[in-house]
Order: sequence, then structure tokens, then C-alpha cells
Amino acid sequence: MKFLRWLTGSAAGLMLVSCVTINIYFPAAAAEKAADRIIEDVWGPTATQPKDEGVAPEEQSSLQKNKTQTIALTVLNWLVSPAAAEVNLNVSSAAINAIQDKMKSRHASLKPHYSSGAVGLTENGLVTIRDAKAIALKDRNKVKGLVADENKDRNALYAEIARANGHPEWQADIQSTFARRWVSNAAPAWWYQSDGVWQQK
Amino acid sequence: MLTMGLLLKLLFLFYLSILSALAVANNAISLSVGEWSFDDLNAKNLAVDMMLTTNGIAVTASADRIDLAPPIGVLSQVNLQCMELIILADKTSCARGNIVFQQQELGLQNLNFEIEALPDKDKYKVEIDNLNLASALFSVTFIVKKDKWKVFADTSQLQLVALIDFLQIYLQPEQLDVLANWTIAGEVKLDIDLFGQADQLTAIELDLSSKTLDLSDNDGLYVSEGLVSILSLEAKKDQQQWGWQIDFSAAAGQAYAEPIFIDMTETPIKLMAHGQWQQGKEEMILSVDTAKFSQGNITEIELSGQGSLSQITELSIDVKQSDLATLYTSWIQPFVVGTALDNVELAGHVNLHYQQNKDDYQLAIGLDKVFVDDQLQRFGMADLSGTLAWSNYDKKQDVNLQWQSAYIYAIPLGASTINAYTNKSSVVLKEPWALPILDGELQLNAFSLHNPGDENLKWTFAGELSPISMEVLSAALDWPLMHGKLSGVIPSVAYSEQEIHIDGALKVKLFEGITTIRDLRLEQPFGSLPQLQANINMKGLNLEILTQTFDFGKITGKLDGKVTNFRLSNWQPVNFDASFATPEGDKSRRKISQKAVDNLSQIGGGATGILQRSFLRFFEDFSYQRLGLSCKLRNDVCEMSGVAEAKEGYYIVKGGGLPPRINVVGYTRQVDWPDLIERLKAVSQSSGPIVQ
Repeated sequence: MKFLRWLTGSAAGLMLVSCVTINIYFPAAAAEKAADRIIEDVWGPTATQPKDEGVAPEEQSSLQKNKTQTIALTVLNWLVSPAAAEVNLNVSSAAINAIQDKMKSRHASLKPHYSSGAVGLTENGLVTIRDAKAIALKDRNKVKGLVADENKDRNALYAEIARANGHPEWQADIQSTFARRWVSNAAPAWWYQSDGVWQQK
Repeated sequence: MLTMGLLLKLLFLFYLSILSALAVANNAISLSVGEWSFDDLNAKNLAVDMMLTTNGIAVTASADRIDLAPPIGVLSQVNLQCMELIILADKTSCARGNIVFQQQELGLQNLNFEIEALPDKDKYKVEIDNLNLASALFSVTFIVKKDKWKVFADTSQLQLVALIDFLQIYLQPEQLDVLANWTIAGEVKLDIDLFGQADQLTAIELDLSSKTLDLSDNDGLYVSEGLVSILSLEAKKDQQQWGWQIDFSAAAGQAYAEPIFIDMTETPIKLMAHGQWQQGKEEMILSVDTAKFSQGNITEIELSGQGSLSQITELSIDVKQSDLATLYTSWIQPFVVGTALDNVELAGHVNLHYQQNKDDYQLAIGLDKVFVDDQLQRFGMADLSGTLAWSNYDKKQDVNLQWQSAYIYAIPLGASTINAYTNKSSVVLKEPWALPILDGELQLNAFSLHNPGDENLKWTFAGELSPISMEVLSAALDWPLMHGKLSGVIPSVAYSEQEIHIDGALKVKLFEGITTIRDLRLEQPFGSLPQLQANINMKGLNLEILTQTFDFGKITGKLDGKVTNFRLSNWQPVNFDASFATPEGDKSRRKISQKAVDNLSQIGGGATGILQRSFLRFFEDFSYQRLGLSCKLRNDVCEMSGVAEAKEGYYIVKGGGLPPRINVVGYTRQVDWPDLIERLKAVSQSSGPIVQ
């Protein structure tokens, strides 16, 4: 009885007694590296500071959380060759490069507004006007336009990376990866949203 | 009113003391009273001095404290002077009067006043100077005649910050909440006249000019900075409604009301309006008989209508013929930020008429010689004139548009006319619409557009593409010169949710073969990354013409091809499974030239010039059994293969027939797509091998 409970209660047990479909999991580590490459290109080296404060290894795979799960992972690796699950993330194509270039040239106009706190980074990997009053009256509409264009490009970028890698369903994961990396790479004094609250780097 | 009541009361107090004093009949009288009460007035340590002068009686009086009924309350340190008090049977007046007192809300006041009372006619007049309210000095005049009254007040300099501070104690909590959402600063000159009867206000005349006015709500949605403006308002009560008239002009400063920004220094604004204001059954109803708004030389708008906060019952707006370029910058562009119209260059003239009746509205925009050019070169139109109309209810209006030329991306479009009508949130063609494209024409037979108001714009059409020469098309798209005609029947094209679908097959005659395009879909045509998807089938292409076109080196024979999962992102290929090969059982003469062999081996990643270095250089061409190449493009990498597998490689050309035969075998399976494109470009640019 005890053994049975252990068997059904653990992930490994589940795997032994039931039919398992292995899906390629989202390559979180690769996505982060890819995001950092793009962010560094778009924002330039001045904005990006430390790289490592963001993601601890456990975020890469939720399967490594505890001992039972480690066993599960071993079994999983034995059942499926690790190579099958190891997916690289490609972030270079004519379309991605084109959009990256657009964002890069727009950054020159947006940067002073990140610094002034007028524009902040949202939790979902986009940008928004945080404090309109920090923008001169005559520029408010222009900044609104910049923010709209930037968000259009960011959404297109996330979608395109997902599509280019043959997994359109990864778009949301890519977007949330980027959301974290934009914040980690943000320059000091820039504003970002965390749990709905604005915080300053 | 408060001050007037106070003065009349005090005047009465002195009147009484004078009457009693007169009896003494001396030319100077002093009176002191420890405490004295009369009606709801109570004075402590009252001292009155009177002296007869040539102009009447001079009175000075003081009291430590005078208690009056609310709202005045307690006055302390009261000192009053009236240098010319005249008391006659039908008239009592006081000229050159002055009163100093301290009151809790009004602070220390030092007022000059004049009073005139004609009790027989029931007419009273009080003029006060130097009234200090909200750190500003006011002149106030009160006139009461029977039950009618007038109040004139003005101040030449009123600081709004001080005014708001002063008003704090008089405002209701709700009003304070509203004020808390605003930052208000600035200096105004105020002249206000109020007219009334009994306890009713019957007319207001207000002149307000701001030397500088800075307003901002907390969200920064409504802001003015350094506004220099003049406002004149007149309102008069007639029965149960108020008639009003307003005149406003601003000549300097800046204002922003999301999303509109106006720099008054560059384009001064003027507003003149009149109408009525009345209490309806549930809400206040505002009627505007006419309102005229003008902004510099940009635009002139006339408006009339009626409505309450919750419902517009009638509205009519006319925008007079205006220059589109300037109108766009201040009034159109702010509303289309982030759309395809966000970044266009415009010229020409436009006018607009809008009519609304409850929820039904109709709109007509007149366009006169309009020129539109997208800064990103995605679309443009020249010499566009006509009427663009829209109605959301059962009201038919004509839509007529004609233009001289237009373009979409690199494709030029010719002059065209649209004749259609709008009704119930839709536009439907009255007659087929012919749109010239290059040397051909797209005929749209059943175009209809529907926009229910949300973002769910839909349109569909069926049409026919009359032949466009590929020579012209390839030149326009900067492709290698191609021959043939592009034509086809388009069963149905539909746009919805930012996506264009083409149902049915688009057939193109190219290189003597038939190319069929199916499942064509275009997403976000004017978005960040337009996405085009299709499946393409090619049958019986004549290789001789094809290779000639691309200057590839002559190959004869037929070629079939298939491109599936074809996707262009931002008009660049990012995904496809393409394979081209000699059709099974091809009966045509199949020869391949030296140059073509060389080029094919280059594409396959091989070295060039192998043929020239061998004895084969003496042959001009070679027979082949089959040739073909396939490429599966993913992630910028092309996975290549050929017509058959070879040892460690694949056949691109398999020799056959009469000798000399030749095989071309490719060994590189994975080719970087940008490299491959470079190679293809090099091939079409190279002059080919030199045969010696």
C-alpha cells in the first residue's frame, strides 16, 4: 500500500504506470540568451548592465524542483534521449533582423523617456506611458506614437521568433522571457512594473 | 451680500445713535457704551464720536467686538469712519467711509465705502473698495431696488492658488474631491456682474482674462501651460431656462487635451457660441444654437446640437474647407497613432459634415485634389477627389472617389473611379470597379465593406485579373526580367481580423507553364511584419525560357515545381518546402549547357570551372535524364536535396540519353539561406565559364 502510494504520488510513479507523451518543453535558457542578444543590440551596451541577476537555473525547468522530480527527470532522460528535448532557439532571420533594426533606431528617441520615467517597462514585455507629465506637452503625442509603434514591433518580434522556430504556441513564453530580460537589462533609474506596481531600477 | 448686510446693519446702528445724539444739539458728541444689543447685533465697548462739518456729519466709531448673526459672526477691533454722513428725510448717505475690522474668514479688512439709501424708493447702494479676498483686492458694488438686486465685482489681479485656498472652507466635499484632481495656478483679471430678484439669480456677466494659466489634471490628460486667454460669458434666465453666450480666445500658451495638442502662440484659437441651458426631467440639457471655432489658419468648425451628459439628442458639425496637411498634423494624426495612417504626407483640401440624431449618424467627407504618401512607402494616392461617406443607419449616401494614380508597395495603380453607396455601416459598389494595375486591370465585381464600429472591419470582393505582363511586373518589383502573363479569376477575397484570404486558386501563366497559387493569406498587410502565406504549384515550365530569363545558362526540357508552406515575413521568405524536378515521363529534349552545369554546381556548393579543366570543355551541352533541386527552408537554413540520392550526396543532374552525359552531385545538405541567395545573385551576374 505504502509503495503504491509512493508510486502514484510521485512523478516517476506516474510515468511508470501511465502512458507518457513527451512534448518539447520551451527552451527557457536558450530563449533568455536569445532575448539578451536582441536586447543588447536594440538598447546598446550602455543600457545593459549585469546579465545574471535574472534567471536562476531552476527557472529553466520546473522538473528540477525536488528530489522526486530529479528522479523523474532521470527516468525521463532515459526514456527520451536528451537531444530530443534539447531545442535551440533561432533568432536570426531577415524578418527578425528587420524588426530589430527598427526597434534599434527607435530606441534613440525612446531612451530619454525611459530615463525620465515617462515611459516604463510593463510586466508583459511591452512599454507604456507611465508618467505623461514628464513629457513636454508638444511631445506627448509623439511619444504616444513611439510607444504604440514599439509595442507593435515587440508583439511582432515575439510572434516571429515563435513562428521562425516552428512553434507559434511559444509566443507567450517568449514574451514572458523577454519581459524578464528587458527588466534585468534595464539601465539604473528606469521604471518597470512588478506585480502591478511601478518600481525603479 | 454678506458685506452689504453688514454695512447696512452698522449704518443703521449709527443712524440710531445719531438720532439720539442729535437731541443733545452740540457740534461734537462722544458716546461710549459698555455693551449694547439690538436685534441680532451685539456690540462691546462701543465708542462713537460725531462732529458737524460743512459737508454733513463726520462720524468715527470703534468697538472691541461686534457679534453679528451668521454667516458673519464676530468682528473684532472694529473702527469705522464716515466723513460725510448726510441724513435727510428721504435719503441717507455716507461718502468717504472707511471700516477696519478683523474677522475669522475674511482676516483683517480695511475697506473704503460709500452708502446711499433712499428708503422711500426702497433703493440702496453700497460701494466697497479694497475688499481683500484670496489675497486680491476687489471692488464691489451692491445695488438693491425693491426686490431686485445687482452686484458688480472686479479685481485686476487674482492668483488662482490663493483663490482655491480661500474657497476650501466654502466648498462641499464633492467639489473638493474634484479640485484635488487638478493642479491650478495662474493669474486672472476678473470682472463679474450678477443680477437677481429676491433669492433668485437672473443674469450673469463675466469677463475673465488670464495673463498666465497653468492647469493640469493628475493624469496629465488635460493640460494648459502659460495660457493667455480672454473669456466673456453672458447668461440670462428666461422662464425656466438660461440663455447663454460665450466668447473665448486664446492667443498664447499651449494646451493639450488628450490626444490634441494646440500651440496658441502659433495658431490662436477663437470660440463663439450661444445657446440654452435648462433642467430636463432628469438631467441638465444643453443646447447649442451655433458654435464657431477657429484655429489660426488651420480650420474653422461650426457646431450645433442638443444633449445631456448621457445622451446626445442632436448634433451637427461642419468643418469648413481646410488644408489637409495642417489639419492632419493637429487634428487627425493624434487619433490614428499606431495605425497605417500614422505616418503619411498629405496635401489637398478637405471638408466634413457630420450629422447625428440620437444614436444614428452620418458623415460625409469632401476631398479635393488630395495627395497621400505613406512615409514608409507602403501606399499612396495622387489627385484624389470626391466624397467619402458613411452612415450607421438606414440612410443611403453616395460614395464617389476618383484618383489619377496610386501605389501599393512597389506596384503602381492607374487612374480609377469608385461609385458606391453607404448605408447601415456598410459600403457597397454600385457598379464594377476597375483598378488598373500596371498594364492589366483588376476588376472588382462585388465589393462590399462592413464596419460595425468596433475593430471588426470586414470587406470582401470577387474579381478578375486581366493579363498583366510579367515583363512589367518583374521590372516594377525589381525582379529579373520574366516573360509571360499574370491573369486569373479571383473567386473571393475577404478581409477580416487584419487578414486577407483569397479563396480558390490564382492561376498564372508563366514560362509557358501554369503556376497555381492556393491558400493565399496576407496577415497585417500594413503591420510591423506583414505575413504572406501560400501554397504554389508549377506545371510544365519551359526551362529554356526560364534559364534565359535568369541568364542561368541554357537548359532545355520541362520543369515541375511545388512550394508548400510558403511564408514571407516582411516580404522576405522565411519558410517553405520547395522542390523542382523534371516531370516524370518528360518527352521533351533535355540538354544542359556548360554554363548551367557550372552554375548548378555552384549552387550545390561545389567548385566552379571543373568542366573547363577537363576534356568535357570541348562539349557545348550535355544530355540529362532528370534534374531537380529541393530546398526546405527553416531558420535561415536551406536543407537541400536533389532528384535522387547519390553516394554521400544527391543528384542535382542525372545524366542520360546520348553521350556525353554528365552528373552533378551535391554534397552540401545544409546551406545558409543568405549564402544561397548570394550564390544565386552571383550566378545571374556572372558571365559564365569561358569555353576554350
